[in-house]
Amino acid sequence: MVESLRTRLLVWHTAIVTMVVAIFGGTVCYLVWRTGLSDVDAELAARAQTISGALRPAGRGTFDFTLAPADSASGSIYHILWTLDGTPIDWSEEGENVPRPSAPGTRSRDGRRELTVHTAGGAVVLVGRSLADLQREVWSLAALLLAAGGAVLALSLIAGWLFAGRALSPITRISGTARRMMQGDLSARIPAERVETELGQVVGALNGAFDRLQASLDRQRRLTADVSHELRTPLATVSAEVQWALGRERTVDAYRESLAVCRRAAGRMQAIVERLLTLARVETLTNRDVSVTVRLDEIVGRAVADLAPQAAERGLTVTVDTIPLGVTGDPDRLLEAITNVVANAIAYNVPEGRVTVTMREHEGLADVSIADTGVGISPSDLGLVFDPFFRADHARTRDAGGAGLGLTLTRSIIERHGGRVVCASEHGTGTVFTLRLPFATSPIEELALSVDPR
Amino acid sequence: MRLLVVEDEPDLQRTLARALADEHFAVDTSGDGDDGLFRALHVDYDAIVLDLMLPRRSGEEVLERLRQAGKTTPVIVLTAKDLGSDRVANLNRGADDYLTKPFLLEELVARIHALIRRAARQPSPAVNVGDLRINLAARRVYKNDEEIELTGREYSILELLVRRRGDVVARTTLSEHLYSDDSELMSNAIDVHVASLRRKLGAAVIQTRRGLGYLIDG
Repeated sequence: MVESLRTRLLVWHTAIVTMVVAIFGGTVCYLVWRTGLSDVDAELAARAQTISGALRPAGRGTFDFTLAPADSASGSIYHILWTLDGTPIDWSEEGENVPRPSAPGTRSRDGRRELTVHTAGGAVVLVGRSLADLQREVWSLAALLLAAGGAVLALSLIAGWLFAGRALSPITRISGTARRMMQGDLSARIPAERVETELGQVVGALNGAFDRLQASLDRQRRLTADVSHELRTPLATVSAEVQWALGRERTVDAYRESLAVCRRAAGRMQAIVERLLTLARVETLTNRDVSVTVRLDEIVGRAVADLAPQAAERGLTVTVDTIPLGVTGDPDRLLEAITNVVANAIAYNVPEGRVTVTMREHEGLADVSIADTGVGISPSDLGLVFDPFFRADHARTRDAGGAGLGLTLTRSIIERHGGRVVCASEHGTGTVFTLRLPFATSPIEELALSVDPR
Repeated sequence: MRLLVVEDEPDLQRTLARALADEHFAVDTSGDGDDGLFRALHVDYDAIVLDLMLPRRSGEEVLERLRQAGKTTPVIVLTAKDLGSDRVANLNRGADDYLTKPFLLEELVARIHALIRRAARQPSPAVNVGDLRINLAARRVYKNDEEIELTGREYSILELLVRRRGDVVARTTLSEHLYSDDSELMSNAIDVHVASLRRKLGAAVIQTRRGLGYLIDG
C-alpha cells in the first residue's frame, strides 16, 4: 500500500493521463488505418473497373484481354483474371499465385488487400495490393503518438508531482505545527499565508482550536499557580507559628494563642480548598444536572435573606425588587452564584451604605442586578474581577475578602446556565453586577419551590 | 536593631513580630503598603521584611518608591511568589534578599543578620575590640576568652556601637534602633544600659562625647 498522499495522488494522476493518451492514440491510429484502407479499396475498385473494361468475351468461355497502354501502368496493384471455371486468363507478375476466392468481395490476406468482382461477361477479376506502406504509415504515426504521449505523460508527471507537493505543503505545515504542539510548544500556530480556501478553513479551525487549548491550559496553569500562592500564606503562618512556639518553653497562654493561629490558618486553607472543589464541580457540570425549572425571584429573595445578618452588622440598607420569573437550572448552584455577588456587595460597601437588588426582564433575558455603594473597582481591574483569587487590593484587605473565588464561581455557574455576568463600576460611586439568565416560559404557578425551606 | 515587618496577614505579622522580638530585634509592624512605605521612609530601620501582595500599595511599589527616595535600608522580600522571574524582578527593583513562604524562622533571622552585617560593611560575624571578642552571629561577647553575660538591650547597644565603630552615635539614634514604636521609653534608659555595659566590659571600651553621644574607637 502506498502511504504518501502525494504518491497516491501521483499514481492516480499518471493512470488517468496514460489512459487518456492511450485512448487518444489508439483512436487516431484506428481512424488513420480505416481511412487508408478505404482509399486502397477505392483505388482497387477503380482498377477492377479498368481491367473489366479491357476484357472482351471471345466466345466459348474464352476472353481477349488487352490493356490500353495508358492503363498498363498499374502502380503497385497486381491482378489476375479467371474464367468462371477457374482457368486463368491473364495475370500480372505478383498476381500469379494468388488463390482464387470462392466469392466476390473484398478480403485482406497476408498483408494484402484484394478485391474480387465478377464481370458481366462471366469472368472473375481480382485486383490487389500490398498494405505494407499503409501499415508503415500507421506504425510510424503510432510511434510518433507514443513519443508525444510519453512526453506529455512525463511533463504531466513532473507538473503533477510539483502541484501535489504545493497543494499538500500546508498539510506538512499543519502536521509540523501539531507535532510542535505535541512536544509542548503551545504557542505554535500554522502559518496562514498562501493557504488555499479549503485548507485555509482547516487551518483556521485548527488554529482556533489551538488558541482555545492554549487559553484553557494557561488558565489552568494560572489557577494552579494562584492556588499555590494562596495556600502559601496560611501555610507560612502555621509553619512560622509552630517554629516560634517550639523554639523555647512558652507560657500556656502563648501555646493556646499559637494553636488558635494554626486553627485560623487551617480554616483559611479549608475555605480555599472547598471553593476549588466547588469550582471544579461547576466546571464539570453537565446539562443533565441542570434540569429543574425554578423561581429565580425566590432564589434571589433567599440569597438576600440569608445575608441579612451580615448586612445589618455593617448597618447597610438592602432593597430587593423582583418579578416572578422561572429559570431552568440547579437551584443550589444558582443560589450560590447570587449569594456570592450579594455577599461581595455587602463586604465591599461603605458603612451605612446601600445594596440594591433588582430583577428585570430585558432583551429576552432575566437580569438580576446587584448594586452596591462601595468604593468601586478601577477600570484596569474591571476585567480581572472574575479571575480566581483576584482582589481589588488597592482598596480592600484580606479580612474583607473570602477565598477570592466567589465571582469566579458565580461566572462559571451562570455560564453553565447559558447566561453571562457583566460588571460595571464607577470609582467612588459603587459597582453593579448583572447576572443575565435565559428564563423559562412555563407558567409560574406550576413551578416547584425553588429552594428547600430551611 | 530595629526592623519593620510589612505583612498583611495579621496572624503571620504577629508571629513574625514575636519571633523577631525573641531575637532581640525591636520590631515595628505594618499591615499595608501605604503605611509600610510611610514608615520605611521616615524611620531609619536596620532592615525591612516586606511582603509583596499587599493591600493599598504592592510590595513591589513600596520597594521602588523606597529606592527612588534614596533609602538604602536593607530589604528582604518575604513572599508566596516563588517564580524565578519574581525573584529576579524584585532583586532588580532593589531588594537585598528574597525568601519564599513557607520559610524557616531561623533562616529568616540569619538572613536579616547577614543583611545588617553587610550593610555595616562587616561581613564577618567576629569582631575584636581591644581584649573583647564579639560574635555578632551568636550574639556573644568574650573578654580574654571568658564569656560575659549581657542583657538584650546591653548587647544591642554594644552591637550598634561596634557596627558604627569610629563614629559617634547619638542617644536618639541608639533609641531609634533599639526600641520599636510601641516601647515605653524612659529618657535615661540608654545611659543606664551604657553604665551597666561599662561595668561588665571595662570603663574604657565605650567613650562618651558630651552632648553628642557614645563611641567605640576604631
